[in-house]
Parts: sequence; structure tokens; C-alpha cells
Amino acid sequence: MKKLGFTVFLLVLSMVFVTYVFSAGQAEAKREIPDKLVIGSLEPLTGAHAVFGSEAKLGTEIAVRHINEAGGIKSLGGVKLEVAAEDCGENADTAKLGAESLISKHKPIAIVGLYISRLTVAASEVTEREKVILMVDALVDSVTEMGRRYLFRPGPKASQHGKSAVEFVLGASKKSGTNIQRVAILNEDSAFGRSNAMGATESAITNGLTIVYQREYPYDISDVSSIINDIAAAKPDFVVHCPYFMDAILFANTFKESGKIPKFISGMGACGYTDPESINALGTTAEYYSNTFSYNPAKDTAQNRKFVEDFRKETGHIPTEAGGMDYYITWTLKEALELSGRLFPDDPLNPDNIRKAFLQLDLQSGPAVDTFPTNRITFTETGDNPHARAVILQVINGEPKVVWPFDTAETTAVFPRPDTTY
Amino acid sequence: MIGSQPRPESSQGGVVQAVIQNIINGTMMGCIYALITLGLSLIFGVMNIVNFAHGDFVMISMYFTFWASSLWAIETVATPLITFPFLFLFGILTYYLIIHKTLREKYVIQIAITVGLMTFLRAVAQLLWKASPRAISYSIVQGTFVIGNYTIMMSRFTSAVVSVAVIYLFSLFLNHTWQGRAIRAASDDLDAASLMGISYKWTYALAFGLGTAITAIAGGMLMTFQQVDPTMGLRFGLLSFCILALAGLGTTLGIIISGVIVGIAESLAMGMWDPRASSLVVYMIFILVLWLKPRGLFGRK
Repeated sequence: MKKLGFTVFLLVLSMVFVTYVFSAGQAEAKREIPDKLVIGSLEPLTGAHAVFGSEAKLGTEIAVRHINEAGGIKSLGGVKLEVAAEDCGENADTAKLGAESLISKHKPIAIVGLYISRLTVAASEVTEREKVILMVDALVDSVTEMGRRYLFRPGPKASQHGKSAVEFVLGASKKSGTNIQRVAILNEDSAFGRSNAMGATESAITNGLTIVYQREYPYDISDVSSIINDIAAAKPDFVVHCPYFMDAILFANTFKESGKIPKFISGMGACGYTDPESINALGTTAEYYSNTFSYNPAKDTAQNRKFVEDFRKETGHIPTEAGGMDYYITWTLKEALELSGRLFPDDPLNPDNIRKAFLQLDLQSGPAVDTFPTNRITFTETGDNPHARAVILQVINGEPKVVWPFDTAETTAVFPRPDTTY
Repeated sequence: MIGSQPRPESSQGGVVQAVIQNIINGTMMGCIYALITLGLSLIFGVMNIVNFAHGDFVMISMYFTFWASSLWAIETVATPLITFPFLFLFGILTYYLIIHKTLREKYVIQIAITVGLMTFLRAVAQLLWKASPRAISYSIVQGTFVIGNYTIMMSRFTSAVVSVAVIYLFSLFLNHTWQGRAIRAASDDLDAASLMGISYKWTYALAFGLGTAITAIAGGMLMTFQQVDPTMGLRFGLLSFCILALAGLGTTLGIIISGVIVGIAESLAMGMWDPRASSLVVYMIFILVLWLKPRGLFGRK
């Protein structure tokens, strides 16, 4: 009996030893780089937000094509990237399911998406649990305030958009010698609209403006005559408005039909007024409207011109906010992977190592910066880029033109509106 | 801070003026809502089928209006001349292919079928026109006229007048034509109507076709000042359910009055309280009416 017990003891000991040696050997071996790295594109491809999602996906696809043409991830032996796309639908459940499906089927190294902030928040629960890097193109401030470790946002947040919308009007009024003192702030009532409005409100107060009217409204509103009448009664010099795409058309048409047009209507949040679809739907009514943009389609760099040309070939128009953002986001991810390859050659694809690479990243040149609104990309612990800033596009002669910041403007802003009625 | 600002009009006169302006705006929108509800009322009243896809018929009509107006350069208010017959045929086809087979089924089957139709129409719209909003940049009825201190938008005014006129003409059709009487008879007592020689199959198809075709006029009028996107049908669908519950079945005047009540409630909530409260007020009325007068304020059955 004693002999049998000793034999069992020896067997267990040898098993433990073999297991230890095997696992230690594995840990010490250099992690193999796969033949290709999958980048997930998780965007709303159906439903009300599909208009943004399909162009965002295209931005990622073009970026991946350009990265592969340029030799892939060089620090990882020139490994090529591949896009796997999934529809995140219209609600939190479909967003989570989309993230789970993408991760289980394709094992992506990172996911780019989901443009709509509430969907981003939902999907980030999955990416965080699975330790997958999430590169977000959603604007709401709180997206980066939830303590997510694997979430990064190179672009400007919503409150920066709101701030930019006010600062642009103040700058343009100073240049044109127009007296601007009274502002009306209007936004659709989601977290996105509210984040934009908070930025605008803060900027208006900081700059000593008087807020004479402030309202939130549901974006599926069917008649805005009451709001336009109230705005006119408050007599603001300009209106700062964060619409949600469809409602921008209703507002622009009602402003025009009512004949109650302030000195300027400055959009914020990049939805509506200046994107190609809105210009198409509004026709000449879109003229002189402006909106903030997280991407500068007029940035005069070879990389940006190449992207604009390729995007135009596929869609017939210049890149939208979503398309442009996903382009530089994907390039930023590429740079982080490059850095991770250099810093952690033994385990460059470990999500914790990629996170460390993101935090050490300081891009001041290269394709990501060449297509970025400002000239620097770094990341804070929360995943935000402190150097991000929005640009302003204004519709002039039917074309969206970059008019702010003034030093990099494509053309001079038309300010005040020539058709102002009060 | 957001949404808590005082109203711009501080004087009592200013508030009264704002209330009246909102009542005018709400009345005009209410008439258009009433026209949309007329189609739903016809289908529900005659066939006892709750058509959840009704709002999406409005959405499809708006897209057809957009097509007719932008492809063939037809003035928006004239597009129903083309879209009305088209939607009528579409309604007849929908009836024979889908609805007719569910007449003897349980309510839950009928609901599933019309909800499925709603999803299908939405998907078709997204496929054909993508998710982008479409709008008509010019219509001859755009502009304003002023009466005293009140501004009236031509597009809403024209739409309201056309809506009331169509409802009136429809009422004449129901009361003074053989087909109209057949629809009413089938609605009141299908067995007795069948014994009198009325083909229930054709009468039902006609009612469904007309109920669908009416959305062509509503869609045409809405496009003079609104945009369309694939998801907007739900809102019109819910609003028309609400107005129908308020009006009750079998009354065209009741539909107009109920539409105007909903339009004014929505406009006053939006203008005098908070734009976010407009749906709250409308659905509060809906719940109150269902609770206090389940047959509606003007219903005859």
C-alpha cells in the first residue's frame, strides 16, 4: 500500500514538473505574429445611423489599403492588416452582440467604431472584458470617462465641438466688424447634443455672451415652427445648434420659410448642414450654414489628398466626418502597433503592451497627423487626445469649405449671412 | 441650465401672442395628422385590422413624392396625381397578397403580419434610398403670410387646407356613392352586407387600397416642408393610433377635431413648456381617453 502511495506521489510530482517546464518554456518563447492582423470595423450599417456607419467603415477600409500598400506594420515583420466588418445595429444589445460576434469570429487586434456614443458605451463593456483595443469615433465626452483601459479616442470630443462653434463665430464677427452679443443655443436631447451644448454654453459664458434662448428637443421632431418663432422673439445675434442630421433639414427649411434668419447659424457636432447628404437634400437652403468637423478634408498634405481622392472615387463626394475620422484613427492604431512592436518585441500584440504603446505615442508627423485636424496626437490615461480640435466647414456655393481655424482655412467665411433678417 | 431658460416673451401680451401662434401652428399640423389617420381609420374600421405599417406607408409615399418631384420635376403639391394611383394599387396588392390571408387568423397573427410589413417597408426604403434623409429644396407653396402679429407658413397652411378638403371629399364618397356605402355597410355588419350582394373581398381590398392611397396625399403635403428617412414612419404610425383612439371609429369630423387637438397639444407643449414634453402630452391624452372613453370622443361603434 505504501509502495502504491509513493508511486502515485511520484506520478503527480512528475506531472506538475512537466506542466511547469512546458508552460515556462511557452512563456519564454517569443509570441508568434500571425500572417495577418484583423482590424474590426463595428459600425451601424443598418437603421437610422447607417448613413454614418457605412462611410466610417469605408474610411477604415481605405486606411487599411493604404497601410498595406505602404508595407504593413514594419516592426512586426511587415504583417498586413485586414478589415472584418460587423453591423452594430441601432441599440445597445445589438452593439454588444456585434462586438461579441466580431471578437469570437475574427479575433481582431482592435475594433474601430461605433460612431454613436451610446452604442460605443455598450460595446466597450465587451471589448474591455475581452481586452480588445477599441478605437472610438464617437464624440460624447463621457465615453472616455468610464475608466476603460483599452479605449482610445484620437478625435475631438463633443464639448470641444461646441466650444469651437462659438469661438469661430466670435472670430468671424471680429474680422467682419459685426457686433455679436446675444446667442441662442439649441440641441437635440441625446447625450451627444447635450455634450455639444455644454461646450458651447461654457464658451459663451467665458466669452461674456448673453444666452437669450436655450432649448433641447427630440431629434424626431416633426414641426419646429414654434421653436423658430421663439428664437426670433428672443432676438439672438446667432444660433448655435447641434442637430442630429434629419432634424437639421427641418430646421434649415423652416428658418428659410419663416423668413426669420439670425446673423448666423452655427452647427456643432458634425451632424447635418454641411455634409454632402444634407447639402444634397437642402439644395440652396444649405448655403452659409456651418458645422464643426472632426476631420479636415482640406488639409494640404499629400496623404490627405490621396485619401480624399480615393474616398471621392468610391462615393462621389469628399470624406464625411465619420469617414475622415476612421481613416486617421486606423492610421493612429497602426502607429501604436508599430511602437508596440519596437517596445515589446517579445509580445507586441498583448493588449496591455499595446495600451502602453498608445500612452507613449507622440505623433507629430506621418499619415495619421497628415489627415488629423491638428498636428499632434498623444493620449492621456483616459484615452483622450489633449491636442484634438475641430475645424469649421461652411457651405459656400454649394460646397463645404474649411473656414476655421483661420490660419489653415481653405477660404474666407461668409459672415454674417447675407440673407439675415434680424 | 439647459432647457431651463425663461420664455423670451416676458410680457403678458407676448405670452398670449405665443399661445395663439402655437395654436395656429398646431391646428395646421393637426389637420395633416387627421388626413394620415383617415387611412388608418378606414382599414381598422372596415377590416378590424390594426395596421402597424400605416406610418411606413406615409414614409413610402414621401419617398415616392421625392422621386416624382426630383426625377420628373413635378411640383410637390401635384405629385399625389401620380403617387395616389400608385399607392392605391400597392394597397390593393398588399391586401390580396398578405392581409386577406390573415382575416380569419387571431389578432396576434395580424399584428405580426403588419409589424413584419412595417419592417419590410423600412428595409426596402433603406435599400432604395439609403439611410440618408431626402428633401425637396423648393416648392411653390413655401413662404409666409402675416395676419396681424401672426406668421403663417404657406406650406403648412396649404397642407392643412388640402387635408381638410380631402377628408371632406372622402366623407362625401362614403355617404353618397355605392362603393362608399358598401364600405360602410361592410364595416357595420359584414354578414348583412354580404347578403345584400356586397362582395366583401373587393370591399375590403378597396378599403385597404384607399386607406393606403390617402397616405400619398399626406406624404405629398408633408414633403413640402419636411424631409424623409426610412425610420420616420413609426412616429406617424403612433400619432395616427393616438388620434384614432381619441376620435373613435366611423367619424370623419371626429378625426379632424382629434387631429387638431393632438396638433395643438403637441405645439403648445413644444412652444410653451419644453419640446421634449410634446410626446408626453400627446400620449397622456391617449392614455386618458383610453381610460375614460375607450370608444373615443366621437366614435359611433
